[in-house]
Amino acid sequence: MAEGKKKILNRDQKSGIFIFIFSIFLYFYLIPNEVKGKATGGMKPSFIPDLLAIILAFLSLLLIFEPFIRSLKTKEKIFINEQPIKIPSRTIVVSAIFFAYIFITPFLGYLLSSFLILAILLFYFGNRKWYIVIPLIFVFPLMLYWFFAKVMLVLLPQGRIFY
Amino acid sequence: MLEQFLVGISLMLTFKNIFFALLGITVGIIIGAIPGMTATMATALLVPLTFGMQPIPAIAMLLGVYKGGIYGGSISAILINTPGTPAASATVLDGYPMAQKGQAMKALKMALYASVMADSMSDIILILVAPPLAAIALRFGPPEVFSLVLFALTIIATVSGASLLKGLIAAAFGILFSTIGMDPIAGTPRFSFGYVDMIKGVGLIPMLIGLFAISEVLIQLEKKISDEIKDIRVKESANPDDNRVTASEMKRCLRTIFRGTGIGTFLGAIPGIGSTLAAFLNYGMAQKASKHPERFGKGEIEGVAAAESGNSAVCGATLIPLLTLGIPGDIVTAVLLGAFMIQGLAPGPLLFKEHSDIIYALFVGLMVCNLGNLVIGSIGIRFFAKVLKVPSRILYPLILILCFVGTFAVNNSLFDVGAMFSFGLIGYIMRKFDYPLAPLLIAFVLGPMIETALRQGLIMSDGSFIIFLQRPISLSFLILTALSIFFFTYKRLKGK
Repeated sequence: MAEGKKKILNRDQKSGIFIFIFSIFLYFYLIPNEVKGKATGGMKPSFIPDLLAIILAFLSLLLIFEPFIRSLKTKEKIFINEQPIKIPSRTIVVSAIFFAYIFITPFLGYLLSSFLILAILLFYFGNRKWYIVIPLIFVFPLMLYWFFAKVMLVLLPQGRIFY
Repeated sequence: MLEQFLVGISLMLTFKNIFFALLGITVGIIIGAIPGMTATMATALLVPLTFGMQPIPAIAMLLGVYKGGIYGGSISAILINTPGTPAASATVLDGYPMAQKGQAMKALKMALYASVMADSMSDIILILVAPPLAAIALRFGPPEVFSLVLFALTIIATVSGASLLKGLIAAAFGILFSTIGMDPIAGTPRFSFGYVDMIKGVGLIPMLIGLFAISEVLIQLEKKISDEIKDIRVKESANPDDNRVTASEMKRCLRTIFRGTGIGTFLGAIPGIGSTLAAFLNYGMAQKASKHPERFGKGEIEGVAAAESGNSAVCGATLIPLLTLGIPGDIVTAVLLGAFMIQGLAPGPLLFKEHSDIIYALFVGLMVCNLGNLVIGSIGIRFFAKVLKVPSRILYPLILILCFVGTFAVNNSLFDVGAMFSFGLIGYIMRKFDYPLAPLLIAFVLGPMIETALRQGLIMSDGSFIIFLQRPISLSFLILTALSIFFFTYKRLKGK
C-alpha cells in the first residue's frame, strides 16, 4: 500500500470516467446521427461502432471500479499516491504555434509561413546564435521545398500572397 | 523459389535501389543515435518521402531506416548512458561501463556485429518461413481471417502496456477511428459530420506521424532543453585490443548471439511483443548461462552482444506476420504497411501470388541492408557519435516543420495536417495517462480487415455467427483468443 494522502479518484479512474461518458455519447448520439444505412448480410453499418461503444463502456467501468474490486479482494483500502498530470506551458505554446502554422499557411503559403514559424520556434527554444538560426530558417524550408516540389513533384501549399 | 530469388536479385541490385537502402541505413543510424528520437519516428517521418518513389527503393529505404535505427540506438546507449531507442535500453547495462573503461570502440563494434549477425539470421528465417506460410494463408476465408485478426489484436492489446484494460481500450479506439469514412460493405458514410474530407476516412500517415512524431516531440519538450553541447568522442584506448573485438571474444559471444537470434525471432513473429523485451530476455538468459554472471552490468562484452542480438533479431521476424498475413506485428511494421499502401500494394498472402518479384526483391533488400549496416556502421562510428551533439532545441523545430510538410505531401491536404496534429495531441494525452499507442495504431490498421471479414462471413452464413465456430481454423483462433485473454487477466490479477 502506497503511503500518501487519500485520493478519491486516481488517474486511471478519471480517464475511465471520461471514456465512459464518451461511450454513452457515442452510443446514444453520435452513432444514431452519424452512421446511417441499411443492413447488408444481416449487419447494419452501425454494428461495429455500436459494439465498440458497448465494449468501451464496459472496459471503462472496469477501469473505474478496478481499485474497489482489488481492495475488496485484499480487504485493504488502496490509496494511490500519484503525481497530478501537468501540461507544461512549453507544450501548450508549441501546440499553439503549430496550430497557427496550419491556419496561416493557406494565406502566406508554405515558404513564408515555414520561415516565420521556424524562426518563432527556434527563438522560443532559446537559440540565439544568429549565424546558425538565420541560415537554418531559410535553408531547411527551401531544401524541403526543393525536394517535394521539384524532385517528387508534389505541390506544397500555395498561399494568397506567396508560395 | 531459386528462380524467384534470381529475379529478386536482378530487381534489387541496381545502383538506385542500393543507394536508397544505404541512405535509409545512414538516416536510421543517425536518428536512432539521437536520444528521444526512435526508429519508429524515423520511419514515420520518412514514409511521406517515399511517395514519389517506386516500390522497391521505397521499401528498401524504409527497411534500411528500421535496421539502422535499431543499431543506432546502441551508440548513445554506449557513449552517453542514454539509449537512443527503447530497444537499446539493455545495451546501456554493459555498453556504458565498457566505454568508461576505455573500451567504447570495442563495445560499439560488438553491438554492430551482434546486431548484423542476429538480424541476418532472422531474415534468413523470414525468407524460409514466409512463402509456405503465405501459401497456407491463401486458403483462409473471411471467418478464418476474422478470427486470426481478432487473435492478433488481443495479443497486441494485452502485451503492449502495463495495463490489460488500457491496451484493450486503446485497441477499441483504434478500430473506432478506422470506422470513420465509407462503410466497406454498404458504401454509406460514417462519422463524416458532413465534411467531404471525413468521408475519405482517417489516413494512416497523418495518424502515425501524429502519434509517433508530434506526441514524441511534445513529451520531449517536458524535459529540460540543455544549452550545453557535450563533447562526445569515441575515446580510443592505447591498448589495441580495447578498440577491437578479438577472435576469442567473438567466439565466446557466438552462443549468446545465436540464442538472441532464436529469442528475437520467436518474439518478433508474435504480434505486439517487440525488440525491448527480446533484448532484456536474452540479456537475462546470457547472464544465467555465463560462467561469470557477476561481470554483467560492469562492462561485460557478452552483455552487449546479448542485448543487441536480441533486439535486432526481431527486425526480420516482425515481417513474417506482415508479409504473410497482412498483420503488422509492431509499430514499425505498421508504418511499413503504410508505405506498401502508398505504393498501391497490400501486404498479405496475395502479395506473394501477384507480386512475388517485389517480395523476393525485398528479401534481397533485407540482406543488402544488413551488409550496408555493417559497412556504414563500421566506417561511420566516429561520425555517428558526433550527431549526439546536435542540440534538441534545433532538432525539434525542424522535426515539426518536417511533420507538416511530410503529412501534406501525401494527399496535398491541409485537412490531413490538422488530423495529424490532432493525433499528436491524442498521443500526447494517451502517454500522459499511460495508455499504449501501439494497440491504437495496429487496431486502426486492422480495423477494416476485421470488419470486412466479419461481415463477409455473416453474408456467407446468412447472418449466423455459427460459421466462425464451424470452421476448424477459425475455431482454433477463437479458442486461442479466449485463452490468451484468460491467461493475461489471470497473470495480471495474480501479479497485483
